[in-house]
Amino acid sequence: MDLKRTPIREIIFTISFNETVDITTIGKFKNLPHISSQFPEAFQGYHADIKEIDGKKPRTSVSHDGYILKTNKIENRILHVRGGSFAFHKIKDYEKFDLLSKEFERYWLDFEKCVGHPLSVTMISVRYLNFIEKNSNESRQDLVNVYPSFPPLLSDKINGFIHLKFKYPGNEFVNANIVTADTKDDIGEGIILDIFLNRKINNEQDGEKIFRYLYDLREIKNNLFFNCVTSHMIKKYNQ
Amino acid sequence: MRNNFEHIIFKERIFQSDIFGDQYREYFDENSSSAFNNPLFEDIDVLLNSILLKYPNLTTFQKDILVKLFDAFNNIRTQIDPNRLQSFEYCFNNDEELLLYRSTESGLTNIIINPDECVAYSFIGKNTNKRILKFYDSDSDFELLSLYFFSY
Repeated sequence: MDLKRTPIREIIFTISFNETVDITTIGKFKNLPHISSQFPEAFQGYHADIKEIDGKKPRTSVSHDGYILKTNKIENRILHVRGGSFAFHKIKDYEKFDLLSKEFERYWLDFEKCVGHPLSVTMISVRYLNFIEKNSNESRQDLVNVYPSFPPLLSDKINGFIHLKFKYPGNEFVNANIVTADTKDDIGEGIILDIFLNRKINNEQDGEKIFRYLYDLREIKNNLFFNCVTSHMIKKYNQ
Repeated sequence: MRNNFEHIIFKERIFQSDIFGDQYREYFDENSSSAFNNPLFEDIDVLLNSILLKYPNLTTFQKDILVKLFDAFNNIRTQIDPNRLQSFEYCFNNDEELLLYRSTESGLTNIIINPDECVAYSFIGKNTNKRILKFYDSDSDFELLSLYFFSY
């Protein structure tokens, strides 16, 4: 089922792998000509820690968190590459899953080429963050089927946040997380419906198999989405 | 005592969003009076402090090793992948050793911090005869030791 208007605001695909890739190799990927031209904004994450224990001289350490690479504001894409994970974000405008997954696969293959050998994948994740508009006449219950309830005294004072975590029925390898949260966005009041799915994989190196798991997660994500929203919400986004 | 990293991993994952990350941070802001959140969210440093407070008689060597291990856990979280962290349990035994351990389907994996300048890593396979025993000192690679500890 498709909606005429999409509530999707951000899509994130993430691969976790068993090896630890050093920062020089991640830099090699960042500097590939087509990567650096498509993702001209590159940020290095640094972490500074200061620790003191038992009154000894404080110890300081600075560590490198990998790279965050960003495209221009028309393409709205982000790559976040760390020593053990590779994430691709599509933000703001919606694009079809097929196109984005193929694009993600290309970046992943480029990354593996820089590493010099296939990586042993331990998990693949799909995350869809939806923003569902809520007008003053609508309640949470009118739009989503997953929501916290409060006594009347507190209902206007507390923001609603709920997190559900479960193994997806029928697929014990898939952990599903659903978050709903009230928020205010630039375009008005609404609800975040955040669905993220993790598929554990046993050190798989075959790219075809890995990306087949990604497609399996797509079906699960769609099923959960349509189970979490109400018929009123569907009608609203089909007008 | 069980030390559950799942909350830390979840927190790391939820903040991953470029669009809604700041919104989520507000939910988990302890100073926010209107946040409806889960008090279980913890940071790695808070977990370290809880062990130090629970066992005030740890030797300086044991405390130093624990700090190095938790530094390594933090590096794994920020630089490698938060999903590598796994829940573990810990206790203080009759030989005054601090034990961090994980019992999984693969077997039992331990880090033993002796009071007198010795650290050991062991793995005992459940369905195989696989046995690993390695010794470390204060200058060893604690990130590698942590990756071993979380790998089974």
